[in-house]
Amino acid sequence: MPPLDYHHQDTWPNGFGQQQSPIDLRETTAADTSTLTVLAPWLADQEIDDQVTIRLAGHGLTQIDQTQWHFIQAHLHVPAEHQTVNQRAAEWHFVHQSAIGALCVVAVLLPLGDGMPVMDSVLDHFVARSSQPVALQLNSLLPPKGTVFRYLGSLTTPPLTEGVTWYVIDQTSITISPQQRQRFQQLFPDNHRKLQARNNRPVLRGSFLQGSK
Amino acid sequence: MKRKQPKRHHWLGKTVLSLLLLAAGGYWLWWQIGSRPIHARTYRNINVVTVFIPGYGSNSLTFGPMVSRFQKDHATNQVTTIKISATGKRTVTGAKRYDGKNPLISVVFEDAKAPVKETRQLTALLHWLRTKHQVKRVNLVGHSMGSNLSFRYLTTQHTDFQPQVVKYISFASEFYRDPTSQLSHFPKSVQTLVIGGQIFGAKGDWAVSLAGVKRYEQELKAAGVPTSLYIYRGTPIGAYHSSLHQNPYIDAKILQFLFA
Repeated sequence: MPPLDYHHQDTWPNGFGQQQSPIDLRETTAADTSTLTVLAPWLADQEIDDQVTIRLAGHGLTQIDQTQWHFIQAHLHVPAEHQTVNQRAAEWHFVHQSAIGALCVVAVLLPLGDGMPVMDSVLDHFVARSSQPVALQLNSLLPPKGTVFRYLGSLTTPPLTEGVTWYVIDQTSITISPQQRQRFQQLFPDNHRKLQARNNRPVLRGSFLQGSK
Repeated sequence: MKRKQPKRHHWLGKTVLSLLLLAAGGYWLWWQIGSRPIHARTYRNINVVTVFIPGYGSNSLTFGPMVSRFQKDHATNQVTTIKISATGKRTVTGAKRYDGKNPLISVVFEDAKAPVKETRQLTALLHWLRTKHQVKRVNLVGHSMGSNLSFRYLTTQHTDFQPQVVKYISFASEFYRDPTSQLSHFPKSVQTLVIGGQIFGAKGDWAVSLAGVKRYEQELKAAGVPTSLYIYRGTPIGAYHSSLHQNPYIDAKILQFLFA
């Protein structure tokens, strides 16, 4: 299968419609604080070149407010896909699934800064067109606090499945360095999906806190 | 030493075989005892079509065997399977009739990992039943994510012609996002049964927690929906998430709620 063409996104197969992601998050409704607790660490055991990004497959367990989710994979988009008042350099997606198959993505928007050591490890382990065994703990990429935007959307790559609960966290403590961004963009020049129509979907904005077990 | 080894393996094999036979016998006995209330009952005709909606990653085996069992026990004389393709095309097999005694429809989604699309397909199916087959009243039975699809259907304001939902069974499911805003739209006339499983020593059915199932019931009750709760507790043979729809005790509970 040829890799996704980010320059011709209108040609992507999409049998869905009204609840696509990413979206502009600048118009919001105030909401309660969301607390996310990592109950079992997000451990990546496979680093995969999936042609459009680096995918880190693994396992872990997360509680967000009252619901438990299983962490299944993480990947990076450069530049960031969601739009907030701050234009961010990159966006991590931590994809989770519930016991009955529901999907949720915890997205962390990254400003430019010193960069995280785990990002160097990810880049160092990458081998094009292959899957590598790794042992990386990814919950260090989760900030202790920030602002979280909650809404109902979709996956941002085909099959663009809708019904995904999004928790997009804007924050300043987790960053990507210009060197890391450059190294990633040498591998994947642009892998952000353009903004999708909001279609009157509510976006809730609240404080984000990382809880402890 | 080498000569003795095959003899040990021989005895080990016999022991394993005996244990397997014992387990199979126990399973058969458990099934027979559990089936008694079903065989003993007479089910009345309520003139409502019951639609079975399977969960995430499901196939025809999710509800196919259950509706066949219900037919064998004379709870129904019309069983239809409707397979919905990824593009929404319907393939209808079986009775293809929606009258007679307690017609049952087993829905099979080809793309069973896209809940929003499946909800749209379910809505279109119910609209088709209403307009093409004059089905005015339905019951919805959802397992796991299928229950959440049904909940979403029930809490959506439909602008097209839809049948009236009389009863709703949610089993092996929980809310995975705050349902508060949707609950106010849930029709108060729908009698609801929430079913959950708890494996001995576990917090739930190894997929959905008992707390989540109970919360489902409590939230519906708090919203003014007439709701009852049934928890099956047992070994994984009957209480595991995907065993619940192959469990005679739960069969009996569903039949009692719908038709007794």
